[in-house]
Amino acid sequence: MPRQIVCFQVPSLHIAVARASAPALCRRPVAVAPPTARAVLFEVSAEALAEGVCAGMPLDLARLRCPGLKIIAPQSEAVPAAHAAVLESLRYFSPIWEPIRPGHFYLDLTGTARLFGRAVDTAARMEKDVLERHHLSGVAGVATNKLVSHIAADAVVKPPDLCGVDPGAEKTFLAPQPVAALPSLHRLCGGKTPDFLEMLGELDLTTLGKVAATPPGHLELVVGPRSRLMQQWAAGFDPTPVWPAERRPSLEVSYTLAPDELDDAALLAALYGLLERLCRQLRARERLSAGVRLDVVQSDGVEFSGRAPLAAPSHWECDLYPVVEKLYFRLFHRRVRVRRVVLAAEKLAEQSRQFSLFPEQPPEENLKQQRLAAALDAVRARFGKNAVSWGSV
Amino acid sequence: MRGVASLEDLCRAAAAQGAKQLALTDTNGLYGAVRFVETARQHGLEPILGAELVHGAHRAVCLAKDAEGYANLCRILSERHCEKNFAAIDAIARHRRGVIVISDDLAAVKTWSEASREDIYVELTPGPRMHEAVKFARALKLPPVATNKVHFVKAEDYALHRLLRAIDLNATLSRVPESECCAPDAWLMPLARLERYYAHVSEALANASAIAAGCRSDWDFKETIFPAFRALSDAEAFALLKEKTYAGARRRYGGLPDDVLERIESELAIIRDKSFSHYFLIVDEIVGARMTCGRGSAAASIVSYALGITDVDPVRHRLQFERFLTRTRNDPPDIDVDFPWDERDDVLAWVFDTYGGKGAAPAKIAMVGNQNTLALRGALREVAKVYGIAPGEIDQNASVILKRLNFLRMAESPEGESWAESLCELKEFAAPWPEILDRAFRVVGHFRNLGLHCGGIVVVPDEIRKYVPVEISAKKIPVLQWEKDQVEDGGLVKIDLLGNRSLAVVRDALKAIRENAGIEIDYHTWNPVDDEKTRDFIRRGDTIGCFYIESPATRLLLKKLWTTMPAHLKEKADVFEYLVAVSSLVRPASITFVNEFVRRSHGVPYDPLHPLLEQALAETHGIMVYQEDVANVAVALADFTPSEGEHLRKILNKKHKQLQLKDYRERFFRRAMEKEVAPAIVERIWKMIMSFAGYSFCKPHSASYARLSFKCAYLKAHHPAEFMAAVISNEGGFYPTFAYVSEARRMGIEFLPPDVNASAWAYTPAGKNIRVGFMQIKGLERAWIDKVLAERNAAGPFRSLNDFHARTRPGLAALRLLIKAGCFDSIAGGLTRPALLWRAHALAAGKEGDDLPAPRDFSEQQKLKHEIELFGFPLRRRALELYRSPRVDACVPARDLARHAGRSIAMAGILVSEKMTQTKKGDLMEFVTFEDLTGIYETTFFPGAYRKYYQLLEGGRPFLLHGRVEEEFGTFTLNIAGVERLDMRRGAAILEVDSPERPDGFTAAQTRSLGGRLPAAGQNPPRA
Repeated sequence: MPRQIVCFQVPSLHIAVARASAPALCRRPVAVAPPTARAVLFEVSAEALAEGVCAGMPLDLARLRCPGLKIIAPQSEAVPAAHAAVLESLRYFSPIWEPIRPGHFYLDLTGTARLFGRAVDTAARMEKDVLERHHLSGVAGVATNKLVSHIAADAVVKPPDLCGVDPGAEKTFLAPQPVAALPSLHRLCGGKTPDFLEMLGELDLTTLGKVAATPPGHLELVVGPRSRLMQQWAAGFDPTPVWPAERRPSLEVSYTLAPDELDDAALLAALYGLLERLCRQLRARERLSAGVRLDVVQSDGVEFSGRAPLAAPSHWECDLYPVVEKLYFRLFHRRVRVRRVVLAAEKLAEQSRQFSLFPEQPPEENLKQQRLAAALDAVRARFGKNAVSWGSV
Repeated sequence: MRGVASLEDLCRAAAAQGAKQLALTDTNGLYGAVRFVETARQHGLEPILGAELVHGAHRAVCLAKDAEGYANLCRILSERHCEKNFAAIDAIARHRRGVIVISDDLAAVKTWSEASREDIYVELTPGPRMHEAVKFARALKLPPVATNKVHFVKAEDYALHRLLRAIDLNATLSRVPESECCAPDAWLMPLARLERYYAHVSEALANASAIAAGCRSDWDFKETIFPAFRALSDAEAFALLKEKTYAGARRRYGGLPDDVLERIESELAIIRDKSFSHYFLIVDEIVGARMTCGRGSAAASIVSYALGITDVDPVRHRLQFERFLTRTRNDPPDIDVDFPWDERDDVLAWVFDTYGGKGAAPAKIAMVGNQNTLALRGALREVAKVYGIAPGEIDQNASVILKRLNFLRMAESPEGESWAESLCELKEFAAPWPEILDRAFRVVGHFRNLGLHCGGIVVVPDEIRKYVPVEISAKKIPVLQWEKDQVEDGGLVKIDLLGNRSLAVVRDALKAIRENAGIEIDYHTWNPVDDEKTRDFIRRGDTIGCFYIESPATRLLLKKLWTTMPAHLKEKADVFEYLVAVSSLVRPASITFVNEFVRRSHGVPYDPLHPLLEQALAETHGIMVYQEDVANVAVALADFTPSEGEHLRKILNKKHKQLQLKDYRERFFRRAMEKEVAPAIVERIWKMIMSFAGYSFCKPHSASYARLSFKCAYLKAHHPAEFMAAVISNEGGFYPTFAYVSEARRMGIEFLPPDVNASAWAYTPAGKNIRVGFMQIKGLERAWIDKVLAERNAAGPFRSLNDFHARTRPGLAALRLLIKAGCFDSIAGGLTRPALLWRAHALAAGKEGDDLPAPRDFSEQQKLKHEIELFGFPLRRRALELYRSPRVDACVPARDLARHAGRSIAMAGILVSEKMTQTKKGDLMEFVTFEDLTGIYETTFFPGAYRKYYQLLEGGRPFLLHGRVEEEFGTFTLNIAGVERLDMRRGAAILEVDSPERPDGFTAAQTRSLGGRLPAAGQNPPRA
């Protein structure tokens, strides 16, 4: 039985949330930027996009390009709530869901036809439900895998609408799509997407159809060993499952610095805050991490990423922090402020419930730290995440 | 990048604290020695010369006790910078005579004191290590001395010190190691406060006073150090110079007429008396038989002319030798020579090989240094980097700030804080920009690093390292720690060996003419001055590409001068003489005199500024044109001696001149008024004198340059393809490449695309056309192309892409560039460029196959895009053609400009060049050159239009211009009223104009309805 995957997205979630509570923002160019110095836009409405404004653009420039642009602050409390609310609606239709980013989900509807009807009809119900209950316009792509459903959702011009790709029609659907439509293109070219696209364009490989039609040996000349993967994608083949929360191979948290920051002490403090969040989630899910990944995004969009293994799987800050700190100093050399940091725990494994007969006793200091972390978890669980924070005297 | 205070601040503060002596100890250098001596004396301080030697773990303060100590200090510092195996302890031990050594490097002090205890002191500085140093001094019974390792005047300057360290180390503030900074209390403490730290060791302060009293402080750098030619005596050198001069003069003049003979004898007599024979012989040897162009006042010398150092006949053009050298002149003049830019490094290599010292012989030569300081632009960039601002944001904001700075009519280093605050408010610069601006103003003018002067060398008779410390530059050339002015004030004689692109243009054109047309032109005997066709080109201002006379200002001036000159005057007027004057007249501060000069040249009667000046300025219609006019006017009006006049002229071009200039001004006014010249007239004449500050020429220099200009104009008139190919190939002209390409096209020359079998690295003439060279393809490496060309010459043309690949083994990137540039079109065998690219990928992967894809060719639009990416301009079409629309087509073409005088019109054009200037009131305005499909034309952005549109202007971009055609002396310019940028994508003008009186009749609202939209980043009109 072919899989039925839905990619459900609420485009520009911050704007959608703001519009839901302030209808005056509808049908006019809107952008989201933090109310800080030298801010850059991180979300724009379709109307703003049509005026030449795009995400990542400095706020000053955006205002010059589009004098009527309405700037709103990030909806930092409303967006997580909206994300949770949308998920609550979607979960009704499938127990297997995977968040992509706030307001964006994959859902596996395989086997639900007898319960809810065809997947496209279910997706339409999802859109209707979210719109009616939460006043948020969503788009959905329905296909046999995550890749095609994602491209199908991206292809929807205006919400609320959906795009369904019938089983067997993936290749036909993708054929006219530009190569740039591939969601994970940067994985094929080491992040040098514009150069890669230009090179493909020179060879007349402008659409996924042309890529799919190129003999594998020829494509390998251009793309190298990843040509096989690219050709699979271009043909609409993607076997990756929709990961349920407990089986996801990694867990990540991110933090946007507003204003952007350069000082090591401030950045390491922000990083420690992230690490606490990450470890708290790991502990809550009873999982251990065997490695960490750190992504540092600078003010000008330049991004550095690095990975480091842990000596032993752990979910304690005192074990992870030295690795994270070392990784930070290894990655951050360029003299440009940091706008965003992403910290991921990778190679996740379940915490063993079987105690060792001869346990290795961690150093006393680590034990203290672990007890402190557990206490902080308890305080935050009871009184909120901001109930207690670090300080120095 | 350690000390914060300027010399001026340091000396002022020390004097205010009641100090009598002050020692300046730069780290590892004597960078400011001459200037320090001067500044210290101005503040009533006795200057002590010294340096802080830091090398590895060793550190010592070395003070020059006497002249020998100074020479030894220079040697130690030179070794520090030049010797790979430098050992500080050993170097000081070898050169200790006359040097006082103060150090808290206890191991080193112990070693030195074992050899001799004379002039060795233990340095005590407040801090945790002082106790250890006191103990050491007492144990070894060595005298302690108090210092505070002063890095700044006030304690609060420590933050600035850390900022400088961060700039120097390319770090952020949080990453500057503590060891790289001085102590926070290393400021110039008053004695009373310092005494608190030395209560238990009071002899340390007494010793400091004793050292100061024992050091020499009457430093005098006035003695001139002449070079020596091949160890000849003065008499032998003079005899050789005389012999060479006579031989050269016979060759130049074909005999020795009386006036020539008389001139030679008189010059030689002065040269002998002033001991300049060696100097001339050395320059003569450097020049040899090369193609050169003399610069500066040396072109007034018949000896230089006879030796081939210069190329202009001083007798025919009435150039006065006194401008170069007189018996009464104390400061030695220098000889400046231009060489083709790409030959200069070889010349320098030869000179250094000859005078650089071999074996045990000491080096006698080094290049003059360039003390690079942080200008406002650099300061903004560096500080912003320390604050972690992204490069794009730095570029954008720095550009706005600098332009705004001009609008506020501020001097280069305005009093920063209030200005910075108002600017930040005005432009809504967010944090941390206000702080960046504030800090940037504080570091402006700070020494950044030592660079190389563009061509100055100094040759001494014995050992260069005993006069000034020498370092090794990044190019591995020995360089003095002093810049040009300190070198001159320090008594060293400089020879400038400079690179000149136009000499290379002439050389390359002559070679191409020889190869293409078989015509041999000898550079040294060729005289284009009497060629009528060349004169016509110059009279018309048709001089784009010609050395020194191609700028819009010069071309317009030439047109004004000759277009409406009455016929009877035109017949008699000497084109060369006028060109000499024009070369000197076009300089920033003389713009107000230009039209007056034209009027008077056209025979309009005038009254001289003062009857006393009638004779002095007769040759230039009563207008000061040349540098020597400064001296002549000072002599005639204020009874200066010729030597005083010459000195006044000289200090106008110096950086640190304010104090001396004040004295001269006072003397000029006093003496002129004693001769009953009205104060208003004196003031006016003084202002004219000031217009020569910074940038002006003497007549011999202008004559020398005018001769090269004439040679270029001759080549342009008679051999256009060879000349324009050489102009574009040598780059670096006044205009961008696309402007020279357009000029060549207007001359009927076609450009052939680059081709692997026909192109060279440079542009080459191909009959009457020009073949584009590989140099125009961005991203290709010269060294690899040279190998390709060698292979082509050795084994014949390439037959196919595969053949090319097999013979040259290119990288994929280079092959992609060549294919996209169309270099393989002639041997593609029917394959399209994308098909060739597929094969390039296969070849790069070491695979071949006949079944590779063969997609259809790139569209015309794609090919044009590739041309713009690779060449910087479209090759097969004119840039403006890409922006055609009904509105552009309706514009007045440049060739018809004259027919619309007095009318408001619209014109289209690509921006070619910009020249910003100021009105009398100090408002900014700009002269901008544009070109359309029919010609090149000039426009004027008066202050109103400039303020409105300056942010839109960008070289190489197309614009729609609205304005009124103005006529002046037969030349036509467009006085700008409105500007629109053209956009290829929409095929219509983008709105940039909001002018109520738009001459095309469109209102702003109407233009908006055409699809107008605000432009891209940094290109918006200023906010109201």
